[in-house]
Amino acid sequence: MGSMPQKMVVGAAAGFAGALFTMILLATSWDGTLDAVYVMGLDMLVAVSFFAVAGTFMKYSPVQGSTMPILSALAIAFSLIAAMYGAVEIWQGIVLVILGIVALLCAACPAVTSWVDVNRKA
Amino acid sequence: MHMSNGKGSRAPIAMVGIFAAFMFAVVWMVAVFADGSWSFGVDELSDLGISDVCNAANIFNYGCMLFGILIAVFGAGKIAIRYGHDISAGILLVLAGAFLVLAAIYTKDSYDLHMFFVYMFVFMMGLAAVVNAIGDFRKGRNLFAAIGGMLVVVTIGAYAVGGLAGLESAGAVCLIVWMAAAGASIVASKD
Repeated sequence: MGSMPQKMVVGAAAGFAGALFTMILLATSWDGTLDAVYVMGLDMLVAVSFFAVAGTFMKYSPVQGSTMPILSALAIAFSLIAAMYGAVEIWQGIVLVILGIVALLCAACPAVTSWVDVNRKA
Repeated sequence: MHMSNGKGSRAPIAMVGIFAAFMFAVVWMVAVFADGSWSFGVDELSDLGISDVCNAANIFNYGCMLFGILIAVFGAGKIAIRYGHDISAGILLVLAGAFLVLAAIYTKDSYDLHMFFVYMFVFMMGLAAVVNAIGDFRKGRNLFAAIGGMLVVVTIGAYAVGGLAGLESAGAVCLIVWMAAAGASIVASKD
């Protein structure tokens, strides 16, 4: 069992940062009206997808290495949709997409996927 | 690195995909600047094809025809050099290219015919992207599979958010990125 690649930490940090950032946006988007629920729902979808991304970079990853880039790409897609809907500001959407791309690049690294595949069932 | 994989040379096919993406991006931008009144996410792409500014309409329609031909050539190239899911995606790309050419010939003036070809193009292109992503995933090209899946989800989300105008605007951007990524995938992969 080799040592954990540094990119595992970077990917997990990007995932957690995206999730926490979106949770803050979610909390601040409630304005007492029913219309805010649409925005909060989209924010929650983005937050959950980023938490899922962070979870794939753990030692006991729930998914195979080959699935990790798919989850990161979904987090980027949901961030873009949230930005298009106006659930997050444009600059907030850019921050989320950048964090997603960092996670995607880490997840696509062969050293990361092979390490996850070896260790997740160890 | 860009040598034959046993079924033919990959580099020219990859270049067709990447060139098509850049070509359509330039044509779109030039047509929008020539028209002056077209707005991203508000107007439909089809409106550029019947623009009051004759040059904008001509540039966009001929650009779409050329783009459709390049998509079909790219699809035919994938059929020639690849296996499995990539051949299915190639066939769908050839059909999608043909429908885009027809949508550019029969502009929005002949509304029913134009919309039929547009919807067939979107359907074939979406199906090609999904099949291509599955093929990429099965063959270990995880990054390109993820990018393809992401672009499909964003396009569907754009339709939910912005209706047909949103679908066309965001979908066209996604299509440009997808063509470039699909071209790069052929260069980067080893099979």
